Amino acid sequence: MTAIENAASVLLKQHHIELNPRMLALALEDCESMVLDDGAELCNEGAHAQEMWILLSGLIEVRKRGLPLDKPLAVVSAPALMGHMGLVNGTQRSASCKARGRCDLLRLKASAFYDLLARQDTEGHIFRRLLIASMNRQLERGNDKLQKVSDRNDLLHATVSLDGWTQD
Amino acid sequence: MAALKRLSGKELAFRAGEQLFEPGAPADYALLLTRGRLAVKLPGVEGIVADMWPGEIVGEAALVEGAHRGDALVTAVVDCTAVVITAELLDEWRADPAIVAMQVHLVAVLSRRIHASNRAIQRASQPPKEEEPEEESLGDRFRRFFKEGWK
Repeated sequence: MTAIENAASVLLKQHHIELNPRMLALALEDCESMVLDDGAELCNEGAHAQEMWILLSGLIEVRKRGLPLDKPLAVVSAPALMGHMGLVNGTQRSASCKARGRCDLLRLKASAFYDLLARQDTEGHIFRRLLIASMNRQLERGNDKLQKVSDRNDLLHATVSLDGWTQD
Repeated sequence: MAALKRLSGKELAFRAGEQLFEPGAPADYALLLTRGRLAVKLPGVEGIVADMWPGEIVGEAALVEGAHRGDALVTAVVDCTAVVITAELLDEWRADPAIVAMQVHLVAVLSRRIHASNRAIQRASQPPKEEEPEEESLGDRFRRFFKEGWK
């Protein structure tokens, strides 16, 4: 089994998607492989998003300006989709990422991402399902965090509204 | 939406005030709102966290996890109708342009919600600002001058 097939298999299992991982591996076949050494930067906060990545092996540290330098916002472990939000929104990177140890990744350029997203075949379908599952999990984690923060600040912040939820 | 309605073949109706999902109940379908308006609340979070209008998708976690409904309370604000969307429908009609468009739409919807959620977390995490005294306007300063003299 290749590294891509292995990552595809784990990613689908992680998200409870019972489709053939070989089809996802096929969808990602044209991606460019890349290796990051320890400490190498993957992206910088504020930069224009032009690609997304599939982390095949290793760890990526996520940091954000304004937060303590000694503590990353998150450490992402392989396999994982990374950087897709910037492509979906066409916005700037919301955080900086760098490798913790050696990392193997696949690079999916913006044009290939949009092509894959719109493909009317099984490869496109399985990629969309994975993307939706990954984003759904991200949203659930965010909502859990919001509830915890709201519970903690209940007296200080009587009202926390998600204005802009539908208007953005 | 008409194409999805045709593929799904199942539309549900909700009366104003009715809750669409029971928290914790098994989740095996999402709903695409075709008529009406929904309000979403989260336990522990005061106020309505989202207003939803026709075209919005709710309960989408069922399409990816096939698990149980979350804690969010989704209520019909007025009488509503919604098309039932299942993971099986998406798999069966994977090459249909209406299904592809719905999935792409869902990606955009999730992206918006993640951003809104992140913004709300940032706002809720910030310490409350102390109320700053309102700046006195020039007119007010003149009025005060004629009453009290310049200070």
